[in-house]
Amino acid sequence: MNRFEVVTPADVEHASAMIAKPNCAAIAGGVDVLDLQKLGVTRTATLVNLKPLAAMNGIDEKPGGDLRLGALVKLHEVAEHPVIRKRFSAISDAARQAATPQIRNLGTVGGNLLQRPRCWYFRNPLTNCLKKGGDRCFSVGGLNRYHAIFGGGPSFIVHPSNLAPALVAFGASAHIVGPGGVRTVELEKFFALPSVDPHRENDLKAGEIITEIIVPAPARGARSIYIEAREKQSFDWPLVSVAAVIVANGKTVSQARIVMGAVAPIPWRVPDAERTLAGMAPSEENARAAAKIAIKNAAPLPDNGYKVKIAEVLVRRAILGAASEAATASDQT
Amino acid sequence: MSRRVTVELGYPGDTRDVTVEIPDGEPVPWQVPDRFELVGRSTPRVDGAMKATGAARYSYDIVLPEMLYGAILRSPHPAARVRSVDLSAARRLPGVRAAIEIGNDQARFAGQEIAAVAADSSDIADDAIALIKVDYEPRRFAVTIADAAASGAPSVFSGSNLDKPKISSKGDVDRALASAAEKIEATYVTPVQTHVSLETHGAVARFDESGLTVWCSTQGIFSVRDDLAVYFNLPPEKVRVICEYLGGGFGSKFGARPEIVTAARLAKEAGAPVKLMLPRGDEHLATGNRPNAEQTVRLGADRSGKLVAIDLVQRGSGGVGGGSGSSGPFKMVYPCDNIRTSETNVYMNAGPASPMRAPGWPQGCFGLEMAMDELARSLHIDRLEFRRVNNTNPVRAHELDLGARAFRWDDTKSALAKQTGTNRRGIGVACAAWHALGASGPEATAIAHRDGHVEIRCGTQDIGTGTRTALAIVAAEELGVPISQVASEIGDTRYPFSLPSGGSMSAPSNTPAVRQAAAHLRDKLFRIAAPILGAAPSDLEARDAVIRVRFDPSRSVAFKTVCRRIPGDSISAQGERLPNYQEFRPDQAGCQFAEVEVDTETGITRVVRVVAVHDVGTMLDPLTSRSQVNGGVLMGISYALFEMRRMDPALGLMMNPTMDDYKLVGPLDTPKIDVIFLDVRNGGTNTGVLGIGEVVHVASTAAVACAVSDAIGVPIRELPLTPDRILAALEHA
Amino acid sequence: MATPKLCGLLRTKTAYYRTPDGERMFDLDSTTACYTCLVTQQPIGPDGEPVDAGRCGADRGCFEEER
Repeated sequence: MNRFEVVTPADVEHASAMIAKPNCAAIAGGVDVLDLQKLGVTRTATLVNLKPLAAMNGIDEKPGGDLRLGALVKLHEVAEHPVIRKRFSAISDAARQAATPQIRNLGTVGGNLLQRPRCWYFRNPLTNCLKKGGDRCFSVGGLNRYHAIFGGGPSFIVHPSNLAPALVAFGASAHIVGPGGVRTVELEKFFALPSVDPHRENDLKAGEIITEIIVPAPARGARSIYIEAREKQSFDWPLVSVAAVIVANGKTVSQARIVMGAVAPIPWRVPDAERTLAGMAPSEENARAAAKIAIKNAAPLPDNGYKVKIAEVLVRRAILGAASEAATASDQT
Repeated sequence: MSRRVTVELGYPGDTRDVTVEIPDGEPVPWQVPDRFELVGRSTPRVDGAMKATGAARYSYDIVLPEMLYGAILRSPHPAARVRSVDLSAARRLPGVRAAIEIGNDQARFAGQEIAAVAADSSDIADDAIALIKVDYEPRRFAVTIADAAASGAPSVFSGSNLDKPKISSKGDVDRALASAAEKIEATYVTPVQTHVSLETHGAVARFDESGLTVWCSTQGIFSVRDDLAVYFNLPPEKVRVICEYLGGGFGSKFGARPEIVTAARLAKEAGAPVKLMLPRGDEHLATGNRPNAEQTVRLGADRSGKLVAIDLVQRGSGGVGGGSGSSGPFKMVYPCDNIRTSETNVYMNAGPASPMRAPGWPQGCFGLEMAMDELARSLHIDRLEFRRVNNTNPVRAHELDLGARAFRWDDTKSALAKQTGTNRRGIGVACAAWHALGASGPEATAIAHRDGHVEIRCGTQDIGTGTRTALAIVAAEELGVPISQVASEIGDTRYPFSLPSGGSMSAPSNTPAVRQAAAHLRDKLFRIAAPILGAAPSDLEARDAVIRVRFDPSRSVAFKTVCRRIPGDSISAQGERLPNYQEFRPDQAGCQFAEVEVDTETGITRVVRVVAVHDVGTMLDPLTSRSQVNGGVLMGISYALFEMRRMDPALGLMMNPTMDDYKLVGPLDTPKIDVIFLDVRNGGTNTGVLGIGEVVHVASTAAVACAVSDAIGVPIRELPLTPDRILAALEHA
Repeated sequence: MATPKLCGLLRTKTAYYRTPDGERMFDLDSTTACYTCLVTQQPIGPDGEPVDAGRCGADRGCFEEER
């Protein structure tokens, strides 16, 4: 393993200044950062330990109903938090289905959003792929059963985060501290396609740190769901995941946000499918129609056409799942 | 001198008297009427607490004074000529104590050993590896059977990549098939599976004035000792091999493997002990695997459902090695007059195969049992009934009945016929066979100490199945003492010889030696006790921690009191494992039933429940036996649904050499497993214990695969049964 | 059938067991036996060719008697 030093910053601004330097990076839970160091994919000399930064911790329900998630909050805290489970259940469901209990006890919200792709070409020390500075994506013409069916090119990685689709479905934003000050960016705009830059998966600039995530209070009558399909039920990455937030008034859907995970280099929102649902009853038939629309632009690689079928099924199930909850909630209010 | 004894063998409902000749001093084989204190009752592992607390010392845990850390440089190329290896920069790195070439001037698979270093720390060793300059001349390669078998394929060796077919034939298969009332032909494909032992391969090696001492993760301490003695030209007594605890092997840890020889070479060169335990990734690349197979199966049956022909044409690849056959089940499970098998090994540029839990059988069983299902459907015969019709083994016939009842085969089948919806359940059954009565060779020493505690010494090793517990049960039973009074000392070539733990050989080979040693020890203690009790030694028995007069149990003396009369510190006795007597049956039968549920929209499969029925010979310990069945079933589920070495044909590299990407069954994938043991007094040895490590794994994959095909109504003939394959099969149904 | 003389450095699982006569056990008909050469610890001989019971007889250049 590469040798590196771990340094402790005084505060977030200090941490930001430190990781702005070359060959420095942040570490929190360390789940992915250490894996990449061990594999030699990264050879970072200095890791700046964010864990002591208390300001980046905590889960708070704000007076207006917004949810604040500190970037250092552990996945298991997200999974178990009563407010998140009640009002933002897609987010707790997503956290609960990630990895293993051991990893959920270490892995953080920020780390989950910023983890690097699981692509086996990216992680193999013997392949110098596009994302590592090479000139090609080996999944093209290679083994691509787990790769992107949307938004691929020139790299075909899929974004591995469980939380990202759920947070994007809720319209969450990230608070970012950097050398240039503080900025807030909608997560939907935060993730970047490889056509923009194949070397990164998001818009985080040198020295920037996500300090917290703000999830706006959902509309009245909103219900959410996160489901995923995995080959193995223990410790596996989703083949496809779907997060949906559905707002229903009476018997019709007033608003829907549907985001797929593990299908594209970024969390993949399907606005056309969302629009199809608006004003419609959340029936089996309408869910099917929306799901068909959700996958219409899929561009599978030779080995991953099956993911398109799974995506269609999961979108339909997510709509029906969230809508049945929403309908129940609507009846009660 | 010897005597003839008649013993009642078999199991309740099917027993028979067999007369065997046994030498004096050899205990009479355990038989049907025997009643035991410990044998057949669940005994928690004697070393369970040691393992659970971390006190058990694995090779990984060995730390010696002045110990260095070794690392191996492996070829990044699937095929390359090694023009030169320059170790000078590595040697110059401070902290590096040895650097050697491994001497492979051709790399034939990515992961092949090229050079190695030993250094003061593993970090320095890794740095030194990066400083080794190798001049490779990459060559063309092939890493799939299709690519390696194609015309014009690059040769792995100087000749063809296709080895000569191995053909075995009896009867006239072609004629029988031509006249069969019903027949099927299909091709079944299985992937390469890697062993993924929890403890990686490796060793700690030390040369000193006493010779070479090696602590290593091995299934055969004596096999390593003998190999190292030859390799380093030392007399065997100058080589000592120790393996106190072993984190699994599954067949991949026999003999002086590359990492063991390399550790010892580095230790010799450095003049200091060297620890060389492999990183996880190397396990997938270079420590063996179960070869893949493409099996074209033709079966024919007559109107009554009796098989008239079994034909297998298969090819498989052991990578740069051989051993990819899978004909075992075709020849041994369902008797048939006309059987022909043809097996061709294909060399390709991938890590070599090594034995893996019932070599050839899980893949063969998958091909055979899937074909049996397809033929049963053509014949409109119930699939279980089809097995019954073609089974001639009375033990298995009984097992099929027991299993069918426990599994509720008929009821489940009726219920499933009415199922609706997108989640579909299916059931499957598959038969297993093995031969696991062990072999002669092992010896054991039994020692009684003045304080009354008993020590058993045997140079076997525990591959993880509970060997210490098994030996202690046998000795405690024979000596009539509580198991807490017995310590099993194993895992050191200074103890009496034993065989490698493979081929389901350990319990059946070692327990008879231990029982004989314990019996001899007991006889010595009887001679001490006889004057105390005023009886002849031959009239004594040992039970309930006392030695007593058999016909007058009130005349007794505590076992510990007798031990206080030992004139020295201890007395000991030897036992040896004699060749097998006539057995109740020479083979070992089993069967497994599985129910699965397939989400037909996503293709995701879950195994719901498994019923496993197995002949274990004399049941020694249901607890450890059950643990073996659980492991065999889970490994089979893993092979059926998840595991596959995925090679990129263009790069020649394995793309999933991690425990993240190489998918293994996990806790949430674990079904309910019901185990039914058949306690069959076999009589082949004084214990009649059978090894069960392999037979419990043979049928697991096939039963699951048959159940999946049943669930979706269309056969899937290629493993693993991943969602893509299931969805594709449903689409083409 | 008389067992042909095999190289003393040929290794396979069964050869770590012995016959009742004390000979190393080789199953020449086995299709699942994995062989290695003790010199290379690979299924490849010092001459760069595959090793197995069919190839490692006395006529091979790298043949050695059992020690």
